[in-house]
Amino acid sequence: MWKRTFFIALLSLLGGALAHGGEDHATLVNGTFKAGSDVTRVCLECHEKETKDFMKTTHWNWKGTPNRVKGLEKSSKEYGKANMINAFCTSIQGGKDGMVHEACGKCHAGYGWTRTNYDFGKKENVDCLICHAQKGNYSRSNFDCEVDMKSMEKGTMDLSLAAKSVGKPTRKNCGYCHFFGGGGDAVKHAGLDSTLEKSSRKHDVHMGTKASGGQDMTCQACHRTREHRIAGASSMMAHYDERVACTDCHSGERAPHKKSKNSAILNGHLAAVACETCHIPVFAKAQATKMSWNWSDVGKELKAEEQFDKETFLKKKGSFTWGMNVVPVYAWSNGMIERYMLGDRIKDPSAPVIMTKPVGSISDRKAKIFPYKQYTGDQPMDAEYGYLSVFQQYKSLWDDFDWDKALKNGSDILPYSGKYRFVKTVSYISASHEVAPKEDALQCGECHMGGKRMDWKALGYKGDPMQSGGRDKQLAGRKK
Amino acid sequence: MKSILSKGMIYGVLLFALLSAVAAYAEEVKIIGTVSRITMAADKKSAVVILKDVKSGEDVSITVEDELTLDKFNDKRIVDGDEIRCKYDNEGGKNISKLFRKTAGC
Repeated sequence: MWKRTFFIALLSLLGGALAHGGEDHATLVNGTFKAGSDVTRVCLECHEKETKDFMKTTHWNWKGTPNRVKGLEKSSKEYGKANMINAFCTSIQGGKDGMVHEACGKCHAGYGWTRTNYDFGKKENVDCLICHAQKGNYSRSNFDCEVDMKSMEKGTMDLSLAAKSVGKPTRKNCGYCHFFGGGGDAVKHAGLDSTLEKSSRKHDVHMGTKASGGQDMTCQACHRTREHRIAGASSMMAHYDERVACTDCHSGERAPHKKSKNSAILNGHLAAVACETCHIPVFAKAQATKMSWNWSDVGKELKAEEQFDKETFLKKKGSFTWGMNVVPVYAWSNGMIERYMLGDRIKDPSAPVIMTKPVGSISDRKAKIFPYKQYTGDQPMDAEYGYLSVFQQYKSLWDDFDWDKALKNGSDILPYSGKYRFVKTVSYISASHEVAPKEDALQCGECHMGGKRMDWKALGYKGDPMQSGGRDKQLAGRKK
Repeated sequence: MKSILSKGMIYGVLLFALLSAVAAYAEEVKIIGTVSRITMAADKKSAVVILKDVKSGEDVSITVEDELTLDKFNDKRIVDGDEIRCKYDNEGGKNISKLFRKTAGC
């Protein structure tokens, strides 16, 4: 009997260790390393297939077929960070031969992508450590798409220790880039910032530490991986490999609201209301996120104020507003996005350009109401050619604040007519993290019975559906 | 008479609340400073950091107790020379950190 117990205990321990961190590489990885690609060569001795798999993903290529973008579903051309434009740092393409890559490439999981022409077929350029190193304070340089040599020289980073410590990614690994999207901590995403490394259950019920009553889940617990392809569809990007949905876990035995007294009423919402809508009542709970960014203020002598402990102006970047505990805006989404693509003509420059927006409406049966961060700003457009311009901020605008010069220097991709103006933009960025504990989920009165959270008319209802009826009734009424 | 007394009590409570709020607010200090020394406690549950205030040039001693920042000290993600935005309260003679974040972005 004891033998059986011992065997089961041993198996559980081994299984637990493997499930948590994978095989211990401390004794497998030997030698001292001077560069990141030295480490990759050692990884390749056993993981050539994994490396090849990785090189097919968007984390490596920064583009893929635009299966997320309405109107481009069938396109075979590839789009992504590599060649799209947004309303944060705008584009990685500005400058002769893509000079900006050397700064933006800090978050490319590879070494050496400093210019437009890059050998995406070179396996030893894959940066395994950025996703897998657990120790040694592995970090990448700000400017040359390599290991941070300055940290190594200072002794604050140990490349060998990092190489020996590889395991399954932790939140810190993913967060190295994803918590800092848009050029800083918490800037871009609604509810993704470095505090999630060690958050509380109250902050995020899934990622909160066990000590706080949370589940301490890794990112890949939801963002499942297969052959290094990671599930998840960004509301700003053109391509996804697989989707993530709450129902991936919360179904069957774990179906939602099973223990609730009001389960029938709550479940009645599910055809039209996404889980996130009630379970993410606010975002940016632990630190402020950028809510607007006006590039038109670059170079001005404005006084920087503080908003939620963050600056509202930087001469290089322009002016910003920040939000904390932000109540989302709500919109229908059927899973596709309407996306401004590089070179698209702006029909009416007096109206905000929609950079990204969910597709859907009350009459679209595939659509549900989801929460979003409504992010606004302005950026330059070519006044003659009528499209958003790519400018060279990194080694032009940030040096002398000369817009005309920066636009000329960024015009390798899209021609610049010599005339520019600023145009307002709006982006709807999905709020899908910082899921609140059930006791903090929205209550009926927030949206119904006079609750102001939802703009029912904007969503296509006659009024509060509690009085005027749900989607079926609204649509039936229209047919008559 | 009764109503005068109750009014007096209400004003008293309001004044006390206002003064408490002002006192609490006054204790919170914000600085931007450069890390010049980090000393971890033996139990690793706190650290004392010396920040050189960018404006005044004076050294300010800050006690850090939150796990996330302590992890950053242990991992050497925050080291001497880093510029920090810090918010602290003075509690019992100690400057207890409420916010301790690198100022840098890209």
